[in-house]
Amino acid sequence: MKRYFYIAKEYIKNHYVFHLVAAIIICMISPLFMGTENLNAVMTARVLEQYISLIGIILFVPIFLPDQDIEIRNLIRSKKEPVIRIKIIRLLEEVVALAGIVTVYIFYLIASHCSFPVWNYWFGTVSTCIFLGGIGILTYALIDNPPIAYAIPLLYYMLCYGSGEKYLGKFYLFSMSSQTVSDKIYLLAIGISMMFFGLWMKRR
Amino acid sequence: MQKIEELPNRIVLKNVNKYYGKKQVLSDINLEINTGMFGLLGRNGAGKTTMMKAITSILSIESGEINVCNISQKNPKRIREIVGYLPQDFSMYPNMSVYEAMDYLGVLSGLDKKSRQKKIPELLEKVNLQENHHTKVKAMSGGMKRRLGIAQAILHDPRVLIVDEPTAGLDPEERVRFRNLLSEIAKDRIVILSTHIVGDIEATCEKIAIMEEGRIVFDGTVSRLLEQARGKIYEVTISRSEIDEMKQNYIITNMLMLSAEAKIRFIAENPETSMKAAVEAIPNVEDAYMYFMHRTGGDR
Amino acid sequence: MSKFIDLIKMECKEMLRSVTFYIVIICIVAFFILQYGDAESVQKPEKGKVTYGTENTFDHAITIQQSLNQLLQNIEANRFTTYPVGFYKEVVLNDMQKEKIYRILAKILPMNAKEIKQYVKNQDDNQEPSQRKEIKVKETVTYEQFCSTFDEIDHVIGGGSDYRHERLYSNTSVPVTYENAMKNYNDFINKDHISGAYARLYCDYMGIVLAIMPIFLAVTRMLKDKRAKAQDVIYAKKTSSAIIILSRYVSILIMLLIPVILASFHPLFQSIYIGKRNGVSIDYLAFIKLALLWLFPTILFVVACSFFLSELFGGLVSILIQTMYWVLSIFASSNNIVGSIGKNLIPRFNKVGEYEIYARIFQELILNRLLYVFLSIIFIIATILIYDFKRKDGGRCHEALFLHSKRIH
Repeated sequence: MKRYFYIAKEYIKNHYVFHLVAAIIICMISPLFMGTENLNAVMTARVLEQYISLIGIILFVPIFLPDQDIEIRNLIRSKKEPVIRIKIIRLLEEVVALAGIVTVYIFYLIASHCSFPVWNYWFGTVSTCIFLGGIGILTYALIDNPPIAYAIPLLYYMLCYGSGEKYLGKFYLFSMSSQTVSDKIYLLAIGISMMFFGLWMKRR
Repeated sequence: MQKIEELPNRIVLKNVNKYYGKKQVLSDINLEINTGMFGLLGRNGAGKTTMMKAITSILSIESGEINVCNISQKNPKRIREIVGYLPQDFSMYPNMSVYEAMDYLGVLSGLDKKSRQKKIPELLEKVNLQENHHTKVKAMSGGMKRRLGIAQAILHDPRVLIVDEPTAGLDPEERVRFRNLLSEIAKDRIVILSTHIVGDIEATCEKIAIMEEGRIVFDGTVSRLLEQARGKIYEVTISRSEIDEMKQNYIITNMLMLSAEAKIRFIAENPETSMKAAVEAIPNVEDAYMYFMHRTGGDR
Repeated sequence: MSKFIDLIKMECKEMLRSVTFYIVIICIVAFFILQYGDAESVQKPEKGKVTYGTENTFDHAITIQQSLNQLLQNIEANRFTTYPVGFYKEVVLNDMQKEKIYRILAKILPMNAKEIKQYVKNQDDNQEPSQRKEIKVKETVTYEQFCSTFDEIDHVIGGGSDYRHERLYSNTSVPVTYENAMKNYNDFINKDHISGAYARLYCDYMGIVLAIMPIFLAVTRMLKDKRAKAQDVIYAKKTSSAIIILSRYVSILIMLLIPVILASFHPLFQSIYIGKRNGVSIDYLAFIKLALLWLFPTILFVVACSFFLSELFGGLVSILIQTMYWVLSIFASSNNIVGSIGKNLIPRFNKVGEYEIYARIFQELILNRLLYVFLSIIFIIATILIYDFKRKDGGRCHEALFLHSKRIH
């Protein structure tokens, strides 16, 4: 147990802290650019889906960054501890970070007198973030190129503007703004699947 | 401005100091290097790579002067015209072929198309990569990459060639081939070879400098280094059970295990009477280096 | 010069082997095709129709009256919709702010502040806007004075409202007449030659994706030397930092023209088809001309900015900062996607036709594009300087910049 804690600590200290801070800053600067007070449900959904959801990309894509160098990868592979276990520990940390940041932001919106279905929107935002993060992780596992791992989820996000709803159906990212939260379960399921598939591909 | 052909073959470092943050990595370096092979020896972290990068002008210095063939380090563009550099961790873009990598680096070295088309095949043949024009860099072995590295370093016919630990990781045959190549190149050039493999120095260099913690602790010929160790190197055959005691009392430069015994080569100012069986040996460069480091810096 | 050209050729050749390059191209073309779809054409209006739609007007008298009506309604509801950076921001005024607005309005209305306040209070929510008793501005008030007054009011609200002078027209709504509808159609045929109108829509969509996708190509290139462990050997070469950076920059610009040209075929064929149907010859060069004017500065800026940020801070920071800038640019124009220019990286024109609006914003577009070309030049020069600095200091920049003064001699 102690060694898992050590692995988790190493990831945050040496690799993840920048991404964590970047995601927090993005949330903190939101009031500078948009209204976060007295919003109704539709406006709140817009802020969460079209702005906060981007932190899903920042929080999940770095999972393979520490092992970018092939020499380091080979060295870690040669050790007793299975590589997949290390990756799962990192993933759990990222999920906890996401849940924490979204929770705090939701509380902030409540304190700013926004009215919206709290649990639904928390679930919807986390699902959207996990979906975008899942695309990033899977892309990284397939192509092993960090910039492109950020690019593909962004492309998906961009496609949701304009005619996104027509083509993407249940996987449309901004369904909460159209007052549909139930579709988020599909995003969550596919997001988690992509994450695990990506980890499985990089298990060795 | 002097023409390149008129420049003297000499590198002079005067009172050179370099810091990484608060840590001083080069401390009051004074050195003069002339035509031929010049060896730079020292432990890991002694400052060899730092000094070589400073001479190549890809690392600035805090104080002092570096003159490469009468060109000051304040004129890096001119220095880069006459210096060829093979870094310790040389590689190139993985998807490029050997020829493409040479061509690209040739352009960066200022060569026109005609010169490149003539020189590249010649040099690849010289380093025994003539069959590998289309081999991708990512498919090359360590030895092949080093050979590519040396080829690109001399492509523009530099006056000074700086090679940083070129033989580390190479097999014995590759190492010998590499040394011979460097010796050939050094006929009318300055070649600075940094290494912590003493055998490389022994085989190729007449003059060397030893660095320790950013300082030059020895600057002279190999024969002078050997002279300092004369009468201090001994050989003795002992039983295996005596090895530990031997290690505690002497610095061992070589240990050859023979069935129940061990043939030990060690450093001693005056071997004790109990070591009567010890026979004075003719020091090699490795012995001399170990003796010198023990005398100046203590054993690590 | 020949070595510069040689380097560009080599960079382009290297890019053609790069998976990243093909992914970026596919992303750009796929986004465009999925978003553009089959754009609607401008139809010839039939005479005698009941309605031809509504449009904004720039008629001063109508603008003044309708903007004033809208403002008074908003004050009564005390809910103002603003878009300071494109995101909806609802503003609720306190009493002091409302009093200030009444005092400002009193300058142009034939009432004092107290009377205006009373009027607002008396407005009946249940009444239709057309049934409400209208206040008119003083006859002596010119349009410029009116605009200036409303800019003051916009300032009190906090900025980004539809009451700033450049947005006043958005408060208006007038029926489109047959004559105006015909004019729009004739402009589409005779001035745009059909393809011009589609070229604007093409640039609208392409501008969105070209403001972000090139970042990844540029960042990948800037990280390539370190990743391949070729940094030191390249640093030690004779070629100047300017040539090295510019060759990489120019090669990316050239290669990004590939998706720009590829994507233009779809709307071009569409234009050809419509042209044949209407017996009109189109302007075949409309797409290339507009792409150079409209899209090329976007590419110049995005790549130059990526180079600069990657060289100074690293690839990840470049991606983060530029993505945020892109998100904010998208939303800055979200409340007006036809003719929104300003200082935005992504000028918007999300409609086929509307030549009149295009003619009106054309100068603004030119200035906007020149601004981004200028910024690109600044960023590239800065990149060259940073690269050169790092080249002389072992590839490090931050330590040299920030710790130099702390060194102990």
